[in-house]
Amino acid sequence: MPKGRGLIGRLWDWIYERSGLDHLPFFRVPYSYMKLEFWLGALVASSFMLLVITGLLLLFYYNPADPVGSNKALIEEKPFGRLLLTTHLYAAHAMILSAIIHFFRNFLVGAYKKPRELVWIVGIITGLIMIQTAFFGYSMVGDKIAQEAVAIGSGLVADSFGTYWGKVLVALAFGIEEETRYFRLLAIHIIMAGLLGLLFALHFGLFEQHGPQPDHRETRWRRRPEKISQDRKDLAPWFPVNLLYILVVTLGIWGIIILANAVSQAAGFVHQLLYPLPIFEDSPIAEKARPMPPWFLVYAFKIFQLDFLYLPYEGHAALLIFILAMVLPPLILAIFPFVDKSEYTNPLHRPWITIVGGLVLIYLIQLTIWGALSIGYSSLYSVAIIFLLPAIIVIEGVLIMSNVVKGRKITPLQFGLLMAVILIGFIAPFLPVLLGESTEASWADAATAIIGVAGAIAYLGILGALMPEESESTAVGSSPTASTSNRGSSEERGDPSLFFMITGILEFALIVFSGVFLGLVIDPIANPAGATALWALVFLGGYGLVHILYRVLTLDKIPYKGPSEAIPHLLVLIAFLIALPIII
Amino acid sequence: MKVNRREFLKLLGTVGIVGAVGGALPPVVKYITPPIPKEQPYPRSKLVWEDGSPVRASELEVNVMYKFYYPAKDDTPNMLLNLGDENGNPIEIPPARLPKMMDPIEEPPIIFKIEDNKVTIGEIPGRGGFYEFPGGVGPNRSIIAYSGICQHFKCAIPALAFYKPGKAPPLAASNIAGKGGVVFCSCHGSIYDPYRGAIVLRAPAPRPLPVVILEWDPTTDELTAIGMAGPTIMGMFCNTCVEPDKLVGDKTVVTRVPGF
Ligand code: FES
Repeated sequence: MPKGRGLIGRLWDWIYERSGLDHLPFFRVPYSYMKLEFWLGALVASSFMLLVITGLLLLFYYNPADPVGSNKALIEEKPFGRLLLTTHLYAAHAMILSAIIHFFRNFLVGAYKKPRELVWIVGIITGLIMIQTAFFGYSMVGDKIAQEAVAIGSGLVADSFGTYWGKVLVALAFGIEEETRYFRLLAIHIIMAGLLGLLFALHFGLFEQHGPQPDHRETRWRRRPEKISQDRKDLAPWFPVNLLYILVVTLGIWGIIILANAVSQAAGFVHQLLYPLPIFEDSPIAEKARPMPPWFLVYAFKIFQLDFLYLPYEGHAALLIFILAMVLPPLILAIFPFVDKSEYTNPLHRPWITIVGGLVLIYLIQLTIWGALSIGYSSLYSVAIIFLLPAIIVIEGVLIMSNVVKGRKITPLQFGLLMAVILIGFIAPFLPVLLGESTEASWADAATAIIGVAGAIAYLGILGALMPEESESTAVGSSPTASTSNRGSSEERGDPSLFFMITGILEFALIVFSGVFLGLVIDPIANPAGATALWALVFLGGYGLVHILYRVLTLDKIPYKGPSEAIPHLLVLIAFLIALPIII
Repeated sequence: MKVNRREFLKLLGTVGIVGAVGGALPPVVKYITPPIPKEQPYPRSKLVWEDGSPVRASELEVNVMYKFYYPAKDDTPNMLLNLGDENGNPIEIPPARLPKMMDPIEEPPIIFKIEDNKVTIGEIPGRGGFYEFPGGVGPNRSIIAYSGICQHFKCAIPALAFYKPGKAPPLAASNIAGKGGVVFCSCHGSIYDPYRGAIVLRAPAPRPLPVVILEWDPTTDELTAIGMAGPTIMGMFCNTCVEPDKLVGDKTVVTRVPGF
């Protein structure tokens, strides 16, 4: 660290040295790991941070004695109240969605393996608490969906755990009297969010013990080395490189969340799963809204409709449903590290785990779409095609591909069988419709089955793209080599400084103008969507600017790649073009 | 020997920590569990319109869904129906003996099978004890009031609603509801037959809808709610386990549910 000159330089040196910024106890990773693929967890954490900020601000005006009235006042009278409430919802959407993506990425590359089993399990528990927090969060709103959530939640518990325990649990979670209910829901929501923060800290702390799983491009899909050596020459210093990268991710996702919210506000009521505002009973759109939970619980909502799963025991009729919807999926996923102990990390090296995990994901997607399209189910035939077709395709496809990886040949028979199943998969769902039963619901069943088939094929496609290039037998003994970052020659790709300069100035101007507009010009009550869009632009401008800072600091380690470097800033431009008509 | 003693102490210490944490829990749990109120007698509540004038049986339109709260105010809605056929002729609903728990029947509602404007209910198999379903009241014995809370997971009016004959519920997957004449729950698709004591035609609901016992005074044509029969409304709390001031008084207001 060269000595700084001048007062500011010396001040900075002092801060730098006293705070120990140069030897922070964080795990360091090579420059080549600065890709979104390795920082999906940061997406979840950033969304959570935005949730905490907006949530704490909402606390100022939420009144549990009158949730509907206080929410209406917040939306209609408080400057930027609508902005905070809708952003809180959209940040929750983003957190849950990115948690699911984070989860499945790490599932696919086998990141749960030794020595990261605990990170995996704590992650699953964190995910469960996240869903519970979200449930209590949307129950607090007091709108139609919230009231139905409380009804259905208590019905499920009461019919699963018997008369006595059901009664106690319902009283615990939702209280007995309507008037005091929302105090309880608020308390539970905050307690759960605090718990979520603690679990996140634990998850992150455990992650820091071993760092991210080494890139499979370096290990050639082997479990070893278990850690990224901290002696490598291409490690990026945590401060400022890693920190700046995370900041880029954070500002980017915040901007995207808020921009999506602005678009959705401007679009009005498209579908209730996307609608960003509460749907109160006396609002004109209340008629269009079905009793349906937010998208991340629609799968469970659909499982509740499969009546053949109910047990003939009074007080425990819904126990099986409860287990299937709430307990079994995380339990299956949690045991993976203890079942799969192989030295390889490619999903095709563990065909059965890959099959089970993939089917859990496909079924979740299918149930969600099915739940959005119809109420109840029409026949056992539709249940069979919806669940069996993707299962058969995934099982056959994965087994064939894992044989290829093991170096065996595909027989024409195997291949033909797979093609036949896929062909059946595209025809069978439409049979009831073709045979004349052309109701809305039978079309919904057909669509759900087709999505399962398409999802199964897409899953096989992903696995194919991840397939190791060489078979195991030829790759034995090759040692993973480090340093993929300096592979480019020092060949000139043009001087980026002018480009960075101009873009940086423009993005800086974007931040300043949006900020000034937000504070002085726009009327947040008359044009809430515009205010939201402006807020998004502030964050997106920041995202672009920090990205430039990050690139400038890493230019000598990650060489300039030419015009493709403009992509992040192109995104800012597109966001600006989307936001402009909403603001005006 | 020493090692053993040390092992023992370690074990003791661990158990002690767990025990201390566990022992700290009961007060917390007791503190956050709300008390469950005692059972109250059913109130006698006259059905009145919003302006306070009594509801007369002859004023109730056929196949229209009305709503009133009973026995608890704001908590337990009920649907009030003057049941009729597709052409608007009232239908007589006889008393019957119905099971508190039943397997769904999976057939279209009885309304599409009757001839001389009279239902016959017959034997409905089931478990969990039986109750006396009082049948319809009023001049045509066609007026009936069911709980407006679904027996599956408690979705309430208007998620649970009466669809008159000829009006199919939207998005329903089961064709049992295809021609209407049912009480349908748009939460998870349970279907009840209002012409036969709201027995279950299609699961997931496991129990018929509770029924409000109505009293009709032939001289004044007025209606009074005097109690309930069937399963409990909420599945687990008794129908009147609320603070006494939470019960409806001697009057309860009937409103028309818009859209039904
Ligand atoms: S609450 Fe009525 S069907 Fe589930």
